[in-house]
Amino acid sequence: MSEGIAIVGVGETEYVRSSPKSVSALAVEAVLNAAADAGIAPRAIDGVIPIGGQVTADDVMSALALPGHFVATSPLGGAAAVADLQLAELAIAGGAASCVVVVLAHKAASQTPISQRVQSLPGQVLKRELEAPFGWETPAQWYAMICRRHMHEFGTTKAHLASVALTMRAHAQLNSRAMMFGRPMTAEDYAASPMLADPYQKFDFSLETDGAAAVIIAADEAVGRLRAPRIRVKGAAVGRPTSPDDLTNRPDWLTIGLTSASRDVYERAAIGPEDCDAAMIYDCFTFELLHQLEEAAFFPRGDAGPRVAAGEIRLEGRLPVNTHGGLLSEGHLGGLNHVIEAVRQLRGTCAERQVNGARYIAVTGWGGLGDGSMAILTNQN
Amino acid sequence: MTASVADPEFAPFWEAVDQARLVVQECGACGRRRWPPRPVCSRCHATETRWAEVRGAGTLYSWVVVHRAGLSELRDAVPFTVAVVALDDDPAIRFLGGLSRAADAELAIGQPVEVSFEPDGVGTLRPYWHVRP
Repeated sequence: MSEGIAIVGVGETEYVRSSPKSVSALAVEAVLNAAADAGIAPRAIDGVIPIGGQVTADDVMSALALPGHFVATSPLGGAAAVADLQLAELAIAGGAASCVVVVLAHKAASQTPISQRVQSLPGQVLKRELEAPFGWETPAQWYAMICRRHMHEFGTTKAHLASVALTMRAHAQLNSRAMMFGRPMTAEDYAASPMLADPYQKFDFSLETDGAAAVIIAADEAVGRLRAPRIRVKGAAVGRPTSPDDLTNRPDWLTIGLTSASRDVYERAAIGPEDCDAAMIYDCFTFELLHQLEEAAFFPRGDAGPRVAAGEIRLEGRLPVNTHGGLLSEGHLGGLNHVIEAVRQLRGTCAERQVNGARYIAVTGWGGLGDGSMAILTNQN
Repeated sequence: MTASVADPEFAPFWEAVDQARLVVQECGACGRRRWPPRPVCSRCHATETRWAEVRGAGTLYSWVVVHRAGLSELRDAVPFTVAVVALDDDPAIRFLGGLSRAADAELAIGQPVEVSFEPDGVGTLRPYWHVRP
C-alpha cells in the first residue's frame, strides 16, 4: 500500500488465565519484545495506537519515556487491530510519525471479561433501551442470531461449527504459546460443553486471556538494520455494515463490513483470494470464522461450513487458517495475535506449523455488530 | 425499563408500551417509517417525527436461547429466548423482544408470532412475543 513502510517487529507476553502483572506492565513488556524483535531502540517509537480500552498510550509513553506525540485509537472493537495497521501507515505516510507501535494489553480473563468490555462499544443508549430489557447483551447472544439465519438460509450445521473449534484446537497443539497447547479437544468434548447462547456452546466461544501483544510499523528510513525481513502491508481496508450500531433492523444480516473491506483490499493489493497462501480470520466465535471466510470471498456463501468440515482450512489444507490456534485456542489478543502469526509465517519462522513458501497472507478483524477490517501482508518487497 | 432512565428519543415507545401499544417513528416530511428511533429520517434527513401505531403481529426472523446471562437482571430466568420479529404491517421493521414459549416448543424462522404485554418484576409492562396458534 504505502511505499517504504513495513511491519518491522512483533512481540507479546505469555498468554494466561491470570497474570500477576498490571495491564501497563504487560503492555510495556510486549512493546519491548517487539522492539527487540525488530532490533530497534524502543525510543525510536514516536507513535502509539492502543487497542482494547484497557491499555492507554500514556501507559506506554510514560513508562518508556517515549519522545513521540502521535496517539490515536480506532473505535472498531475487534476490527481495530487490522484497521490500525492502516492507521499507522497513514500516520507515517502523512508525516505525523515515523515508527508506530500498535499495542493491546488486557486482563480479560481475570479482570475485564467481554461482558464488561462491550459496555464501551458505541450504541449504548440503544442497547440499554431496546436490547438489555430482554436480556440481549453479549456478542455471543448477538451473533448467535446471525448464525441461526445462516443455518436457515444455507443449511450450516452445528457439526460445521464443531469443525472450526476442532481445527483451531488442533493447530494450537503445534504452538507452545497457545493457551490450549497440550489440551487437545475431541468432537465428544465439543458436544459435551455447556450450551450458553444456543446455538453457541462453550467451545464455540473464543478464550479470555490475560496478556499483551505489540506490532511495530515503521518507515524504512526511520529504522536502521533490522533483525528480520520487513513485512509489507500490501493492502488494508475497513468496512462498516449498514446501521453499524443496530443489527435488528439491518436489511441484510449477511453483508458485513468485511464484505466491502475485502473487495477494497483485493483491489488495492491487486491480489485475489486465490493468491492468499493462508488466512488469519478473527474467530471470536466459531460461526464468525465461517461467515468471514465467505464474506472475504475465500468460499462462496453457504460453502464455508462443508469445506471447513472437509479439512480445507487445516494446516495441510488448501487454505490454512489461524495456524496459531486463533482466538478460540491460542488466546484473545483482539486479533493482534493474528497479525503476529501472519508476520511469523511470512518470515518462515513457524517451525512445525509453517505454511511452506507463504508469500501473501490475509488477516481479518471483526468488531461490534459486523465492523470489518482486512489486510494482506506479504514478504514480497 | 423505568421512565426515570428512559432516553427522550425512546420515551414515546415505552409510554406506548405502558398502554399496551407498539409504536414506531414515522418521518413528518416523507412518511417513511423507521425503527429503532433516530433523530432524523435516514432517507430525507428531516427532523420532524411522528409516532405511528403498528400491529403486534409478525414472523420470527431469528432467535437465540440464552442459557447463561451473567450480566443481565434476567440472570435467574435462564433459559429464556430472545427473538427478532419482522412485522406483518411492514416487514422491513423488526422488533427485538422476549419470546414466551413452552420449553419443548420447536421454533422455526418465518413462524407467525404475536405480541402481548406482560408486567416485569416491578410491574412495568414489556412486550413479549408468542407463537401464534
